[in-house]
Amino acid sequence: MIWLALRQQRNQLLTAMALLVIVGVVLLVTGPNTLHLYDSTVAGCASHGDCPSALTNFKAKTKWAVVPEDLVMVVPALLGIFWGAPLVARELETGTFRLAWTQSVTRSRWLWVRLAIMTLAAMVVAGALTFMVAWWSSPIDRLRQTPFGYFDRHGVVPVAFAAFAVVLGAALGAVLRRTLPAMAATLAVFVAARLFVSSWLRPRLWPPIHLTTTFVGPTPSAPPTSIAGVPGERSAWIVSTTIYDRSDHVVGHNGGIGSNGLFEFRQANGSRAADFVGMGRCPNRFPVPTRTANASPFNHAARECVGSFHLHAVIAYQPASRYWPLQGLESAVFVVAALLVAGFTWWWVRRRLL
Amino acid sequence: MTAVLEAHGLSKRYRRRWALSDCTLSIPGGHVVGVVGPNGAGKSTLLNLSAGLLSPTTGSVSVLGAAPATDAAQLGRVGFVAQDTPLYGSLSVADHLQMGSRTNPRWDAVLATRRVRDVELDPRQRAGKLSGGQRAQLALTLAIAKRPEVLLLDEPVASLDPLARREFLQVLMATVSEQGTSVVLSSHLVSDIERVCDYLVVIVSSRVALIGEVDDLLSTHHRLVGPRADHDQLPGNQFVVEASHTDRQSTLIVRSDGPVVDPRWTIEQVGLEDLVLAYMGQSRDSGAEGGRP
Repeated sequence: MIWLALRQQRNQLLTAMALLVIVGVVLLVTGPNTLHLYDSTVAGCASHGDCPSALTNFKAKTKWAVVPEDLVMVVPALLGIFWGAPLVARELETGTFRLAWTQSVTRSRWLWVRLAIMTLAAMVVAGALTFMVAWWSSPIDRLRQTPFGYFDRHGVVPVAFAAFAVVLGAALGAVLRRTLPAMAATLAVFVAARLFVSSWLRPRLWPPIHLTTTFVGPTPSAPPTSIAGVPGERSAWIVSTTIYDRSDHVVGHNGGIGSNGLFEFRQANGSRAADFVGMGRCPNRFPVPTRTANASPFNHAARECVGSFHLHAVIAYQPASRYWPLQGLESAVFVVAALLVAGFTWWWVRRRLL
Repeated sequence: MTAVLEAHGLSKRYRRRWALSDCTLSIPGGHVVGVVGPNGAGKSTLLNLSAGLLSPTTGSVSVLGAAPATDAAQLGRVGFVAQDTPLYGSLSVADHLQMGSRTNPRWDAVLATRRVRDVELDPRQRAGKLSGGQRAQLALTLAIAKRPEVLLLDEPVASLDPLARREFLQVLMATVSEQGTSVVLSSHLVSDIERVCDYLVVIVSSRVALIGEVDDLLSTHHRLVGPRADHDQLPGNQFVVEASHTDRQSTLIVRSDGPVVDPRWTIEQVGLEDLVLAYMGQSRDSGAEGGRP
């Protein structure tokens, strides 16, 4: 049975292997370049005192560096579409299930063997790719403020995504009985599941830490939607920021104040000054900082104005130390989901496909 | 001996249509059984239920005394060739034999290799490039080489030309006599059944219309030809299967347990084909169109 499953999926496995090797070679060749670029620009910038320009230089030259990471995002879905969906659907579509299920191998075993092989293979592919890309992009990652920015492109979660995608594809193939609709459905459901987890479930997997702090923003260099960050936790993932006024009314979320912004900078065209629009209680004209001019008079004035409202912010955040536990948690969520879907597929193939 | 195939009140419904209704039968072992009926009558459904590829809506079916496809051992006792002989198009003939040997503990590699050679299949050829006859031969080889106790064949020769059809049936018969395998094969052509089968099941409009050993069936059915008459005058042990009338003459096909002694009738032998057609016509006349019993 193992032989048959491997023989049937041989082309798919070999194709994936070949693509993986090609990607590996490309990364291996270009990786040292990025590292060299990093070393020659950003790494030594402090001693030259030209860090901003070094950083700009480095970022400009590594603009396309998101491509390998996007690959990590895309590959689990591809595995679900091209490995998972046809796994059962093609047999049902071509009628070969009548051949396969009348050999001296039970249908359960037939399913488990091929599902296990393809799921494990997908996990290996996703794992190898993630590992290679993580190595490749490590210089770029060093410049990122928080590892949570690349949470679903690094670590172990892509492996769990791949396992889930393949099992999901197999299940939808068993239910829909047609390869092409199963492929489309796999993409749709997988993307929906990923979006649901990354935008809704992930922040709730582990209750974030709450920190109350004085609201000091906004400043022109840090626009109204950002907040200074968590003191002492530079690379924390800020899940949400709620801004309250003196009487504990919520006046804003995530750095902005009010839906349209109670504070807003408005700069008339060509004007050398900016208005602070909204509450109208501040001196409403600030000298506008330019790239060359010193920003601190403006910042100072702005802070003073905002400070006069006595706002405070409650920051909900995940500290960087929770990166790996959260990776494990989210992986577990997808692995458990994969097991449940696999159990469903087994039930369906055994009971419903009769 | 355990029945090769036994069904009690076996029915299968697809959405609103009954593909098989209240089928009760028991077929003893050691026969080559022909399941015959018009297209869509339920032959395929019966065989797929027996192979465990379908499950009954109501009733039960057992093959060699056990429920179909319950475990690997039971699967190994039953060889199945599905309609249109599905094969893996991208796998070669040799791959298929390899599959057979890897998935069947009682696989007879010598037999399989010999059969493939005998029917002149190129082991390196992809199954997708085989002709209909070659596909059928390969599918039959796979089913035979797993050394089953019973072979279920669903319309195995339907898509074959007459020559391939004859070759296929010859190979089948040779295997049966060599290995003593019981065979249940379906066809919508009586001529195929007539050539190889010694047991007959006629399914019409999702019901079993006739069942029995071919010899018994032939000896208990007669064609009566005589002057035009209504057939309600026949004795109680005789049942009219089919009646056709011209102005002056009536022709009846009659089932009778005893000999027909009636000077009004000329009694003739009924051929298998006529017999089957008579039963098919009967069921159609009675308007049984797959309704629930």
